Amino acid sequence: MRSPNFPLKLPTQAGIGLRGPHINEFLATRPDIAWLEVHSENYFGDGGLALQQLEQIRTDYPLSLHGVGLSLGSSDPLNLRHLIKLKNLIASVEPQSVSEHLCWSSTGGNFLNDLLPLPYSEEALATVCDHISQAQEFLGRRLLIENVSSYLRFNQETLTEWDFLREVAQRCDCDILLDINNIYVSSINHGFDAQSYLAAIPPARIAEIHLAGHESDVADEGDDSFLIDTHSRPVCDAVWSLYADALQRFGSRPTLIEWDSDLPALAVLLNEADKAQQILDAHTPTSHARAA
Amino acid sequence: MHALPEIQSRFYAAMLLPQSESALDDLLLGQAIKNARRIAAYRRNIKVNLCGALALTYPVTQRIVGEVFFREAARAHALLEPSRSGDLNDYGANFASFIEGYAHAAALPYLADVARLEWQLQTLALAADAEASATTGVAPFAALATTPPDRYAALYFECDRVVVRMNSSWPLNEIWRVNQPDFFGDMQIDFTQDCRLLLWRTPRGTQLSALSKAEAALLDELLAGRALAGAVEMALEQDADFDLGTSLQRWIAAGVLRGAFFDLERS
Repeated sequence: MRSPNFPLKLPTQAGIGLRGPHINEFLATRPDIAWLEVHSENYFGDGGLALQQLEQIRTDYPLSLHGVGLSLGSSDPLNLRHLIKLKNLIASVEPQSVSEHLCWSSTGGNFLNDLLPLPYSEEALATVCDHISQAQEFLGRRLLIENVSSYLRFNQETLTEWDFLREVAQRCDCDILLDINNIYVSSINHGFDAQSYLAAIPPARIAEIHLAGHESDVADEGDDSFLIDTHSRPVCDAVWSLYADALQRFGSRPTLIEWDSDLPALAVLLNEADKAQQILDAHTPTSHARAA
Repeated sequence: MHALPEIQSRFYAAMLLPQSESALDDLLLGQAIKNARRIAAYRRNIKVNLCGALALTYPVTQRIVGEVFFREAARAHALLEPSRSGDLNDYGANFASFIEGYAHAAALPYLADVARLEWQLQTLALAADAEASATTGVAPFAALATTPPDRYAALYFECDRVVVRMNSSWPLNEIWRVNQPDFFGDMQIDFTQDCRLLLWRTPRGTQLSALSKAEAALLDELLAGRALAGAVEMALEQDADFDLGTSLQRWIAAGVLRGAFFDLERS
């Protein structure tokens, strides 16, 4: 059991996404970091070393379970087996936060295991809202839903992405995990104004912020370069700047550094979190707020 | 007007089928030529994800065939065996069967068994933790020490449930050993040898060990919950010089045998 003083929600500080290759070093050194996020599916086993390590981690650090495979936007029904595994994991590690993505990854029971773009139509909105509501009811808790980055747009869209996201949060009474890098990547890829996006999101719904790095797919000729959300780089200056704008609008929020491929040394990741913490500190009204 | 199920199933097909960059033109906003490169980015990412998941589960298979061959095999496999779960740890359960029928791997007839072993190791790594030992007390093997051999027909072992026994007509343990990242030395293997393996789990992770025929016969009986007397008989049939004491010590030390109990009623 946890100590009664352990926080019930994520601290309004910077955390890191903890990935397999860093776990042994993390457990051995117990770095000073305010909270951690792991991918839920990596702990869907029935037992073994990974779950034991997560148990050690969660006794000392506030934890967020971040799902990548629920496929909330699929026209398929929700996968009950996936939901049961998630529910069992939640019961066993008692996370401060549980999040998933505003996307789809499966059709006809087959999975592409990627965060694929939804057409922002009323039909897709109804589908994803049904699924989020069902998932929240089944899990018995509110979910955080994250905006994904995208490279394509569909021709029958009737809503903007920000209107779609806001509608989802209001209809399902869920929270928003706002990924600033994804907003930036999509704003470049689709030519919208990232500030309009931020302005449309109700601050009270935003429970967490993600930051990550991306790469550019540069065209050999012509003007068709676009950004790919790779989570393989440091956060770029434009995203740091958009993050500061977001905090200005919304106030401080728990903020996570995500890095998933070409993983750097753990120290590099912690250093990125320090940078986020400095920006958070600059937006915190009083210096006492952090200690409180 | 295209409904969501149609959009998603066509998108799905365009991600996996070759030369399908233009298949979504009527669904997408923007110039087809630009969209083709963006579709290619999704296709690449999906391929990398699925291949990466297979490589995590099948590192020795990948090491044997090399990254380029493995990537091509993973691509062919993805077309035949779609992922059926949002959890990539579930992906690749049938990779060994795929390899068996994969013409390009025909020159490596042992490769399917290597993949079979790796899937078993992954399954074992994620299996439920063993329950606390039922053989309580400070000396779980007291019954073994106090029972004379002529009463072994009523002596049973409590065994770790998180174990797998497998046999191969190839020297899998040797193939495994020389293909570990930290192995340095003679890679010569006698491919005429078969093997019997025991896979189990310790707090540090999964382990595997080759068994003699006699030891495999003994463990098969004990793991199936049968009495020591019959197990010894099976082992001696394989090897008249079988050393029971050494073998029991080995598997007690490994944690595979967790306790012994005398049960006249079961015999």
